[in-house]
Amino acid sequence: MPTPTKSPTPAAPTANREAQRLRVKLQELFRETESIRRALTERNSKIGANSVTISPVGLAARSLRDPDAKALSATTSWWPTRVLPQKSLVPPPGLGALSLPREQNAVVGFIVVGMGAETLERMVQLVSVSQRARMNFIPIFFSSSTDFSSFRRRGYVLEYVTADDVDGGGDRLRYLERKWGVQSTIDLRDASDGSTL
Amino acid sequence: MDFDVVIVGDFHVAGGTAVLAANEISLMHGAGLRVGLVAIQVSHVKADLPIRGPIRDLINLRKATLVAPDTRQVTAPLAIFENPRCFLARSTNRTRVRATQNVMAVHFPAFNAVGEATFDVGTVTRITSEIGARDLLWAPVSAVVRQSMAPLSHEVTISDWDWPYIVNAAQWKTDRTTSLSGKTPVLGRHSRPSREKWPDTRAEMFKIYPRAAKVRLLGFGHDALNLIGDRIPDAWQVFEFNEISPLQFLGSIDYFVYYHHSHYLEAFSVAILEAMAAGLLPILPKYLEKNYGDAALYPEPGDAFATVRSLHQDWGAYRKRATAGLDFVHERASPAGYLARIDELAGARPKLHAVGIPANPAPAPSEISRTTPRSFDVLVVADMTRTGDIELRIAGEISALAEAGYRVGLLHFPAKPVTRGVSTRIAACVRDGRASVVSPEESVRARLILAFGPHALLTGMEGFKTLSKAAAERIIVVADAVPNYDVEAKSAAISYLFDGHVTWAPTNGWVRTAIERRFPSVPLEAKNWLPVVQSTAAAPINKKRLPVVAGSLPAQLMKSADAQQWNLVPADNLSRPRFLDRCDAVVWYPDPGASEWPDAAIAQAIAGGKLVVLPRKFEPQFGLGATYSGGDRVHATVKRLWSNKVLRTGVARRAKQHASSFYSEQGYRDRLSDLIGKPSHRRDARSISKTRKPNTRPRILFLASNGTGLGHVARLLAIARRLDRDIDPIFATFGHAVDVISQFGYPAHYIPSPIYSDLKTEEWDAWLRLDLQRLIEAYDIKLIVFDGNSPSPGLVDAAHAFSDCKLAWVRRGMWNANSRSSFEQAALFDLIIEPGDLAASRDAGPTAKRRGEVLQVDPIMLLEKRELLSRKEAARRLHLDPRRPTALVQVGSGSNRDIVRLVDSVVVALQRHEQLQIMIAEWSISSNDLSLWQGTTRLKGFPMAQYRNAFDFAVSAAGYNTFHETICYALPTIFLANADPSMDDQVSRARYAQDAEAAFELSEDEVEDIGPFIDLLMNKAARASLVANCRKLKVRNGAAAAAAAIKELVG
Repeated sequence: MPTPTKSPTPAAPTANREAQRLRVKLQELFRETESIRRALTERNSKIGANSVTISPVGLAARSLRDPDAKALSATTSWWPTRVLPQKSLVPPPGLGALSLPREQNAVVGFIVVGMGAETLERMVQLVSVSQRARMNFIPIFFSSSTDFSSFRRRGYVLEYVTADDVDGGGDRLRYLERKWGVQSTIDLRDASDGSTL
Repeated sequence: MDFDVVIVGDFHVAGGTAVLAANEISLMHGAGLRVGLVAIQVSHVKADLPIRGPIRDLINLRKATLVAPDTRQVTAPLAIFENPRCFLARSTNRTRVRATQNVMAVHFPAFNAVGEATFDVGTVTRITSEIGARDLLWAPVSAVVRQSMAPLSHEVTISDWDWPYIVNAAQWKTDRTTSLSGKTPVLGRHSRPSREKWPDTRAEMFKIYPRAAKVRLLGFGHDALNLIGDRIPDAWQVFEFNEISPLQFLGSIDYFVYYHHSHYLEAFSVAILEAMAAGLLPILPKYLEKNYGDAALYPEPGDAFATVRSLHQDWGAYRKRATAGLDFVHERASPAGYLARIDELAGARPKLHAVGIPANPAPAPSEISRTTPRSFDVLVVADMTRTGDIELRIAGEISALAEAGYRVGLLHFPAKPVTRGVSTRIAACVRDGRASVVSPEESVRARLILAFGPHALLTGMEGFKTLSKAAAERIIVVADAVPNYDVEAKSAAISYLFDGHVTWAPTNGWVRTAIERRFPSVPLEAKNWLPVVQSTAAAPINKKRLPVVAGSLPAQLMKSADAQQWNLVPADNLSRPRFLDRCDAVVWYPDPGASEWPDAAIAQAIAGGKLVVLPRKFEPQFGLGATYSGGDRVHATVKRLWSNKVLRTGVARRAKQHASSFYSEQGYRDRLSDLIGKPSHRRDARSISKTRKPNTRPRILFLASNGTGLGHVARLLAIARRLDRDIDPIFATFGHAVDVISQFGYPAHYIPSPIYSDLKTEEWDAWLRLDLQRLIEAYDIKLIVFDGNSPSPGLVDAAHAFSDCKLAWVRRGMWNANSRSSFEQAALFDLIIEPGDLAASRDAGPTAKRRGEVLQVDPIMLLEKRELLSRKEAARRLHLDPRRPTALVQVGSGSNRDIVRLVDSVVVALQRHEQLQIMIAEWSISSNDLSLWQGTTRLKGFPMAQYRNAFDFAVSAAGYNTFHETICYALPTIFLANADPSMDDQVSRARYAQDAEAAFELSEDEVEDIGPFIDLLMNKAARASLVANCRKLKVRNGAAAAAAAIKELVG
């Protein structure tokens, strides 16, 4: 994990201070709401509250397969076919750490490719807990799951990738790291118990 | 500077006089004379014209020396002053001429046909005297001119001989064994296009050149077009000045018939001499008999065609009679006669100087010791990242070269640090195998280097050393803007860098003039470097609509009432792929200070037969390809030509003909062949296609913007499902809908929305462009179909980075009336589909005013009615009892309203009815958990509409999809429209349905009053009434029509 950086300075103008105060408040509200939500979910599972998930019936026109993708053309300094923007994007810190100043904290990538729903939820929760404790990094996830709810609920950014994207040479992963200004990437597949964190 | 002969004159005006001067120079040079040219500007010619044509060729070949305007003095035994009209005002050229013999060649009558003096002798004498002429001898060129000068004989010394002309008869020899088309004579004429060269009236014009006769006219322009009323008779064939060679033209006619305006007098026409040399017997106005005697015929204009028909009765006799013309040329215009006159004037046969001009003036490239360098026929050097007209121009030339079999290399020469990639079309040329990329470290040889964008080349001289590994025998620098740099210095640097002889090729007359004036020693190509373009397609949709005009007009004209009657799209994107395909007309009125304009794009519009309207100053550049008008008349001009089908067709035909003569691939190949010969290695014509991608099933990228619901995704799924199985849909979404798309069996990609980034949208957009480019290239995408409100520049740029990737926009209406919308990108889409809206009559949003640009289809829905599950099956899957009533609560995703409060109020009201089963829909992309109410069932997943038959009524938001599915599938509903200003106009939709008695509408504030409405919907008869009224609205599904349009677009 990156070394903690300095905490936000209170030297900002009044408006910024007020914005920061509101962020802290929202952050606390989210944390409370999340606690309630988790408690409700637990209760519902105990009392057997009804929930039905539907899917298209007989509508899928094609088999689910990714069509062949060809290698991208080379790009060089003397024939630049793709030139990356100079500025990386800045991911949001997540609703549970809303008060984190974006520019002053390290962006850390987490590879959560190939995980089932429960494992994925557990890993994202671990990252979230770790972030709240340290308050010095902003996570971005590299996930292959089509279920984005774990990220959405916590206000995290993810990039939807395949195992090949992160394992096959790394071009795609490097591009995404550059896109989000990722300073280091942790492969959570190596420690699905969260020991890395 | 010393010469044997100095010619003082205006070499800027094209036409017979310039041809004569060129012939004289060439002849004198061949005889070993050193010829100096002192160029002055004709005061009465307002246009800022360059030196071009044959005289420019001779200067480039060093057969004559163009004296720099700041040269103090030149000397010669003989000075020839060409045309007294050149000396009516002081020239900016201050060079003094010292000659033993000074002769004024008088090429025009001293008085015109109505007795007006064409020059003032006193002024001419004074001006020529200031230049240095003493004892000026005036030499008329013909009997007509001599007669006109008679009143001046007491003021000037007139020669007793006529100034000799030169026509090399052998060069004009034409086989006339038979008439061209048997019984039907072909008559024609060749002249400059100016008004005085044509008869006085339309009636006279058609009397001389009957509409039904086979007429061929070389030198036809807008004056002639106006004279005949804008419509060229079908039997005629017209050519612009210089469009084809005079020799070729004269070989295509049987009779040369030339009559002009009654106010004009012809002095001694070169065109007539050339016609005679080509074996024709000219038919001319009576007064010219003084000049040509029995070498021509002189009927009255009204009898000219009768004379032709009479002559055509006996072709043999005509040919015999025509030999008189050839005799006249031999006698009056022979090279030997001319040299004899020069000999006499110069006082002695001039000494033969070893001028030392090699057959090929280009210096041989220096020895380059490199190991087997790659060789190309043409190496294109440019900053390949530049977009706009230069990109269009370069790509057009690369394609034409490759198609002709030339091997083309590309050397990217960035003008500044790389911040963007190689431009669209050029990158496509490489992908398609039309050209090969050359590294700056690589040794390459080329027969010709074409350097584009010279103002940016060698800027700062970075890379100077490393780039010196490319070499060529000849270098042409294509200058597309008036230079604001030292052309001579840049020319020297380019020559040194690539070891070759440099000539400059201006793209238009303004650039030529600027270089010529400021840098007279820089060699210029004789002809302007015109672009080579492919034809554009006709604008495809809405045949009865107002013209789609790509306009660049002064602001006050853009806002005028007339302009509002056009579908006016900004012309900034003229060079974008397929932009012109969607336009009917182009109007281009640049700022007066503009130094460059989109020559190539305008040429492309002309090639597509578009109506192109330009300021008059562009006429020398675009000829009959465009229509010219003052800025205040541009609207009227477009209106007049657009509304008259005959005129519009004529404009299109002339434009296409102009393009085929000036911008065609064949013309370009001929140009290159003249420069470097045929391709060095006959390229396998199949090699281009071999390197192209295999012809696989076309792939379409469906790109869904993120919304508060799943509307964008659902519409795209609806279309994708209806495409043929030979098209592969691939999806990308900005929202969290990958699971939804995947369930339908389509590959799905996710691009995080800008709302996740703290940067400006533009900064996100730069990454979007790359993300999309990756998908387009990896999957060989042929079309992007975007569903969303705001297509960003990054989206459009990504598609345009691939020349064969088209763009479609699915843009539903009912935008909020106050929404701040931008439609800048709309003109860049190949197709815009507006999914119909049942409540379209209530649409007060900005898209309602832009229906002229869209294809409207019925409301697009995911499912057909037959795809809905039966009540029994739906209930089984939802674990419901089909015998009990069931209500569905679906109030949206909760992104921008408090749906928990809404659902709570609704559930409380619903739970008053014990028998009622309650299902609460939780959107797939929602962050809200709606499993909070005991006794209810949360419904997750997609598509809920398929389960419609499980429900007896609904409480629902009024988003596009939900609303139309509800009405189409006749589900009794209470609408709780989302009135958030960021949304589409759900309230109007809901009210429309209520007004049709097909549903109820409640505002969010009225939700506490929902109980009585639910009570009503528990009544079977009430529900039946709503169902019946829904069915009366007859909603049809437009998804298939949208799919058909998209299939057509992707071909």
